[in-house]
Amino acid sequence: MNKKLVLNQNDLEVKYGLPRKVLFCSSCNMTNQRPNSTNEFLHNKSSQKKTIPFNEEGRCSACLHKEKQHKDIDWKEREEELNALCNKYRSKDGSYDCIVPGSGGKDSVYAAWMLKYKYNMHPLTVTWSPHLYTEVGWNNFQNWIHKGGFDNFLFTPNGKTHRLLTRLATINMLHPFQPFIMGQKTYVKKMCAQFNIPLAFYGEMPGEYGNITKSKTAGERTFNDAGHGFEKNETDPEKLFFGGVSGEELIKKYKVEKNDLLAYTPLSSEIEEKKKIDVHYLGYYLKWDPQECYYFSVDKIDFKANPVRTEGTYSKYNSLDDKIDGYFYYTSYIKFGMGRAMQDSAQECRNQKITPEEGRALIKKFDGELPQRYFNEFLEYISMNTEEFHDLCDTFRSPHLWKKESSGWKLRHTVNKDGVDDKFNT
Amino acid sequence: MITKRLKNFRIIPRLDIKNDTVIKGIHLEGLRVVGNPTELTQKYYNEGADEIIFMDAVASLYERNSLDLIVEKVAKKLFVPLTVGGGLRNLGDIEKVLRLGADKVAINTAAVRNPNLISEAANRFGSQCIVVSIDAKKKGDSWESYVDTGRESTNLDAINWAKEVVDLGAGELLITSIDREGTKKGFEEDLVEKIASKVPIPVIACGGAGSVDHVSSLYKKFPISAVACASIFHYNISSIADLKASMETE
Amino acid sequence: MIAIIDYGLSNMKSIENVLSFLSLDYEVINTATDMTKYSHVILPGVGAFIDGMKGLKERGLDIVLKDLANKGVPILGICLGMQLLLDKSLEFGETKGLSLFSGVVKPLKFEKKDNMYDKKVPHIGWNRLLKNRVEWEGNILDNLVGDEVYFVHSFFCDLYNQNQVIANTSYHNHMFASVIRNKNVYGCQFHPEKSAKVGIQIVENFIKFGEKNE
Repeated sequence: MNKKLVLNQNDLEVKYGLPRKVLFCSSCNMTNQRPNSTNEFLHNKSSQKKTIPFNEEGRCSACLHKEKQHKDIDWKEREEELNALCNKYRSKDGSYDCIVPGSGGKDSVYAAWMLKYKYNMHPLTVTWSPHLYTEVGWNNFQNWIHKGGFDNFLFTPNGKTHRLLTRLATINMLHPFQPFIMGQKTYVKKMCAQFNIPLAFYGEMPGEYGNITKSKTAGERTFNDAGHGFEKNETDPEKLFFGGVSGEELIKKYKVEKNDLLAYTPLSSEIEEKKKIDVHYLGYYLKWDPQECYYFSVDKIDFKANPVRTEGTYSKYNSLDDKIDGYFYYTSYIKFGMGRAMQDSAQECRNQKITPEEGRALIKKFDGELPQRYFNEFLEYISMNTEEFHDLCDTFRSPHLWKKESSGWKLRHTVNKDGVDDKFNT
Repeated sequence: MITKRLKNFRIIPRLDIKNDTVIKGIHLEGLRVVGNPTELTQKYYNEGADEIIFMDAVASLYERNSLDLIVEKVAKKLFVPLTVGGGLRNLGDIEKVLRLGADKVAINTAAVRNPNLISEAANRFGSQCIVVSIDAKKKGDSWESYVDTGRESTNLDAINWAKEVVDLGAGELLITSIDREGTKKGFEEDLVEKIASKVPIPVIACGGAGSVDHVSSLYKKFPISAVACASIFHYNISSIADLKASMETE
Repeated sequence: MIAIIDYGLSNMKSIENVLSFLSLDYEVINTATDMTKYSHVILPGVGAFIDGMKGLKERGLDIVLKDLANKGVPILGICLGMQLLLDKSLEFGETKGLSLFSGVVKPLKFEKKDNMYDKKVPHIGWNRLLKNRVEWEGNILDNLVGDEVYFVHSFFCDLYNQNQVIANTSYHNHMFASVIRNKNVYGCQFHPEKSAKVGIQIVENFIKFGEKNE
């Protein structure tokens, strides 16, 4: 009986080029199905994923990176590097000397505050608007500006195009957040170029989340950084993919204007080099503790966490400002078996706030929960009904991860070893 | 020097506990470690705490009760009343923690889900053992009661619920303002006022104490029987002696 | 050897912890048995009078206690334990007590003021012991470092013989007996095991002076 099953396991289709064998990090419970950041501009239906690597002991690269961080790093030395960097760029006439992207979330509060009030820089904060602002998100954003005391540019993309691309991204790749990610990523350098402010500071290092940084020097984000999402220097929208559809097709078939796609198109590397745009991670220079950022931002700008538990996870202070946000995590659960609770708890494991055992209890309780609060708004936004959405999700379930039973879809393997195939130990 | 006790007003340090650490959040969120439960309890007892409250901060998250060992250990040397809450779901849980040395229990989520538990527990163990804990968040003109350590809303009006639990047999009420707790910006006096004078049983106010004035303000204005404070003690802002000294003159 | 009476109602742990802290030997008694080895008896208690008496009767402990009182063995009733020593309680109708003191157990009742509940029941918290007629020297309240102890009760004892009241306590201007004594039988309305240093002293004093029979 078991032998037959083993054969069947190997026959199961594996979507997206994910690893056939499902593993979970022994330190943080993260699944090995988790993809690294994708080059969204080439991202389409048939894209194959590169996933986070695990070492022989079954630990993921994010944990190894973080462990290294706890041990090997001389934070004094790093701070000196930051001081040197700031000294180099600090304006003498009070003009803006750095761009700080953010949303008014706890991490951007910390980043902007430290740069302005501790390191005496003159930041211009820039924000790429969420699809649909939540009330708490908007209030935090306003408090960031009004109570924190920062100048801010808020860019809101053309709503019609954004909605269309979101719908297409959902249909083609079950990735509703893709247009937002593309826009947000390209925005910073474009603002640097626009204002002639070469220096920009992101917050946490992407290596925190398992993306291998190929930065050639410390803190810098190079153009070819996998976390950056670009692999070729292409700026012609017609040649790029948005929502899994080529720009050319969008223009011809969907009647989108070339101009409508500018919000998502990257800055050319020529301009970037010419303007000497220099992007850094503040998290490289300062030890980053997301939970402490929460306390910090409550103290400084009266930051408010979600009044109730964020659906799909246990916490209330992560990623609060977009009504669509929960569906990003939900679709991630469908595609990779990785929900919001798994991601949040993995981060807390790495920061030594909770144990892997506690993480597993949280995953068991909350992971994969379909957020209800904004579900109708989300469906309306992407012009789908409930049935269509669930049917669509089902087409994205990789058979090697999911099994359809009479009571519904079940994961074959879970970190708590209660997946439908876990008892067979395959 | 013997500690002073205030007339009809108790100062109660509140320790939110996760595993074997005392944590302190803001708006019931965040698990920043601020100390060790046995050490802090000993410290507060020596400084004149009138009672101690232990809340298991993560029982409902992890579906487990892990305060047992700490309660048993601490109770051996603590000669003021100890109230224990967090994740107590049924009579069995309550009995267990009382046997380990707790004098009172605090229940919230379990009482909301099954109000009869309050009367059953009061009958079995005595009303004076049963503290009903209400975590209240402002909603419109009134307050909504939250459960699961501030994670789930209930649509229950907190003021009405407070009156109801009195009828069900609660011996005391612990009212925590979610909007103020951890902020050190002062108690939510509206909330305290609305409940303290409207129920015949003692009320313990919690959430927001950040200075001596915050506490003495409550003491002066409302028929409040006690305050439960965390940040002000855990972050060494004021001591128990300071608080009592400032209110002695009232 | 001290006996702690377990009649199904109370949590013995707190008393046990104090006795352990004082390095005193004790045993928990939950049934009628030979009591000759016990030098002192503690009757703790929280809960309802009617349940308390039922618990004692079922175990034959009511007879044991009356017997011990007659024999001059020092007995300390705490909280409900003290209330059970009286003739009767008016809690739910009338329930008979152990009659080791003449008096009645009555409920604490207060009127609202300006439609506000400013006087709370149960009486929970710290309050002062006030001398009544008797000096405390050489007694259960001998040489206390303070006079504040911890109360939690909804009923109080109304004794006919005021000379048996060693200490009174006032709660919102209502005076009630907080420490009573009839030869070798004592009662504390408050919880000495939860009254920090003062409470521990009172327990110690009971052990030290309990035998004195004046």
